[in-house]
Amino acid sequence: MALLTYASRAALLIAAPGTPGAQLRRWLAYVPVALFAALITTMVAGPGAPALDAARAAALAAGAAVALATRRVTLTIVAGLAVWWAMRLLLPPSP
Amino acid sequence: MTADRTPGLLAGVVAAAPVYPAVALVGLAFGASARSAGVSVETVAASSLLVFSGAAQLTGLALWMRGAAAVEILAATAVLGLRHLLMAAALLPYVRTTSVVGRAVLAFFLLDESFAVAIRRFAAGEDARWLLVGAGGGLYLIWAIATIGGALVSAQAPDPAAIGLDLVFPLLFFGLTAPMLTARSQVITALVAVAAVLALAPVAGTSWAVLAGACIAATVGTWAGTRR
Repeated sequence: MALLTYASRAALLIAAPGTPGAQLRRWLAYVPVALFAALITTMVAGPGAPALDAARAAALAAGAAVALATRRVTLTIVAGLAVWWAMRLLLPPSP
Repeated sequence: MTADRTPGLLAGVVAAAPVYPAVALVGLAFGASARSAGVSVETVAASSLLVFSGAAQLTGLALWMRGAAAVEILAATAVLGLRHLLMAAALLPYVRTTSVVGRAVLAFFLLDESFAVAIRRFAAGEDARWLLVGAGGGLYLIWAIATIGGALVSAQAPDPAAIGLDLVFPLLFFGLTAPMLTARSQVITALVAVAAVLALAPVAGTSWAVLAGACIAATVGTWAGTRR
């Protein structure tokens, strides 16, 4: 498992030949946004993700809004968690 | 990779700090679950110190508890690691002058979270190699301490989802993605990635959906960027 995990991280970084061409560099510039959006989607709505109840939906919406408005990571996390905890106080989950 | 080592490492440790509590809780839960399933403390420690991948370790444990064969666990590990190929590809233009040993070190600390905090700095023209190592190193320490602690104590750690801490991961990625949405083509890329993953995940599984969805979205984004 250790070798497989490390190989997936290291193979390209160590063995890639030469410098990527201009077209590939343009494509690679879009990879972070594409990858982050894909990862967020699996965390929020993918198989195995916790059910998207009202508290989670409100927390994620608040986080997204704060992220777009402030572009600050810590504020985004604090706002999202604050909304989740506030929602849990106001609307406790049904037993 | 010698310039600005200490400030870079510290900046990385600080940049990844928002996810430490959630990583610690997941680590405690992993260690405790592994111990209660009969895995030795030494094996838990070796797994965390050498594999250093929460997704791979949690999946491996879940499969092992269901009696899966070794080859099945290894196949799952390989598929889960596919997204790192894309991260490494995105890093390549920024680390091509680094020595092989330096790139080997960077690869060990290449995680979702460390990549996320470093790639923004790279894209802004900074040398973020030590920052990536610092972020990965901070997470490595927290993960190792938490998983080994969970295995030693074997107590039931609180479920991060029960106290909302699992939300830290998507919120972190919101915060890191938002500043990148500066052009219409980047917004299109994000939207296509979401749609592609939603469409592909039920049929292809999460890991393949992330890989394929991100490749499709980056391709569409590149095309949209050339049509301005």
